[in-house]
Amino acid sequence: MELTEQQIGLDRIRPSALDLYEKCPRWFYYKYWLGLELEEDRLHMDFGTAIHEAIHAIFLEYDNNFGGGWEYASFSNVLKQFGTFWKPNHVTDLSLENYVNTVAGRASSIRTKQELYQYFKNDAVAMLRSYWNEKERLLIDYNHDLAEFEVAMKVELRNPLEPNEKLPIPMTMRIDAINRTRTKLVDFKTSGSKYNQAETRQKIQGQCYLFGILMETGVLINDFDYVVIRKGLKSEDRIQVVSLNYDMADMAALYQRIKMILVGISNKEFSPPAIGHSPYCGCYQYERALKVK
Amino acid sequence: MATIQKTTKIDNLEQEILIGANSVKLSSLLTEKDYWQTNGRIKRTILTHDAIKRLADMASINKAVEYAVLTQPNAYNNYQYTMQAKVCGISGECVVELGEANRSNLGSKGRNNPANMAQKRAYDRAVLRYLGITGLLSEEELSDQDPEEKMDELSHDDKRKIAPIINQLLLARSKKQMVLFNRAMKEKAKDFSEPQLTYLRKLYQKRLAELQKVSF
Repeated sequence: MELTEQQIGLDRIRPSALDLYEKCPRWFYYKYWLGLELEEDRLHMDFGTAIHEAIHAIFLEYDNNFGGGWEYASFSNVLKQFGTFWKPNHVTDLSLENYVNTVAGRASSIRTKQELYQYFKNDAVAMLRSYWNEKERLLIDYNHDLAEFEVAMKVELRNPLEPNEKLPIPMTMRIDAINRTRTKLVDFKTSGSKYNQAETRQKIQGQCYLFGILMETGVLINDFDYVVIRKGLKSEDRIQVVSLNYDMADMAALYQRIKMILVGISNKEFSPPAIGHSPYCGCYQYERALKVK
Repeated sequence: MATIQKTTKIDNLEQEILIGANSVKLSSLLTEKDYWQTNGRIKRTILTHDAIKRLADMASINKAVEYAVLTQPNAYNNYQYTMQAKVCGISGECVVELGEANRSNLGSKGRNNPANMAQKRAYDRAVLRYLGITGLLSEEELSDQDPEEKMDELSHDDKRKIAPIINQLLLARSKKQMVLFNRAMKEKAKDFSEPQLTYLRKLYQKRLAELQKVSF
């Protein structure tokens, strides 16, 4: 039986959607297959976007000083860029309510939106300062001479080992950064917790970015780094780099993994996972919202 | 899971079956623990698997049932087991029926043992067919009510068609928006089926109550 776009019911797929299907097909069903939207707290997403933009500014500083690199760069420009994307209205009533109900929120004295906004702003300064201090080391040790940011792609999904075999829908993605020699992809994450190397290697999202480049250029970039910028730490050292390496066999396996997900979607397999289903899974929020008597 | 509803008399249990040489009313062979009725608009009478096994024994159906596995689960058949059961009586008369179990027709109780569920379904259908029992279902035919059925009995495609309307309801932030929504729906209603509209009406009432901060 051949898979078709009609059976899948989607005209494209994103790495984050694949990731969600693997976590909980039910959640995927509500969010991506039905396309239902809930009022969501975008605090962390908006904060992450502002951090991304500020890091982009660090690399613009590198390239925009007539070849002088970071010698003439100014950290204040980085903070200015952050301030352009981090505004008080990003902290909503829902954000505050969610925050004060967390362990950290209960322990802190933050009780107003302005205080929460300022807390995040102060944390961002520490995070960006840490990155700023580490940028030369990251460049030398990890080849993070980042030249392309927010690279959008839409690629066909072909079997790397059998190029005539193709899945019926394309994959769309946005890659955080690619280095100047196009030998490494980088994805930035802001996180309160440390990333585990082995678990992170299994994540479908990062592999999809490498696969996307392979599909578009025919060239496999083997190296992929997650740069985790840690939130809420007392330490000034906020940077964790998780370096991953993949080969063509990984890409062939990824193709089959994506294919199986699409087969699952076309079979309407949207039940939550039988084991390991988190009691805090996002599917429950949808079910609460959609339940009627 | 559908819930038990006690009834005084159920028509389908008044049918007669042959036990040995005698024709016997089904209701006289069953206790209250052997059957139940589902809730909902269409009430179905359900026989337990144990009751069906007991009926088979009473009718002297051979306990050595012949089973055959017709399909093994794989990604292309929705992970379906298909089993064939052949039951025979002492007269030599046999009945063959199929039972299938896949991810779509199993609830949480059977998800971890689909082969067993397919086998039970095949057996129960074969015994019911052998005894000539109609209008009753084996309990193994029922999947648990999955949470997605909170959108009543709409198909995936029906749900998808109303998803943009559901989004308007879920994202509405004021009573005024709900009034405008209601007006717009008067025009749009003709595009939807009655089950779709029934669900949307219920969700509308729920959201309105939430926005008015009253219990509903």
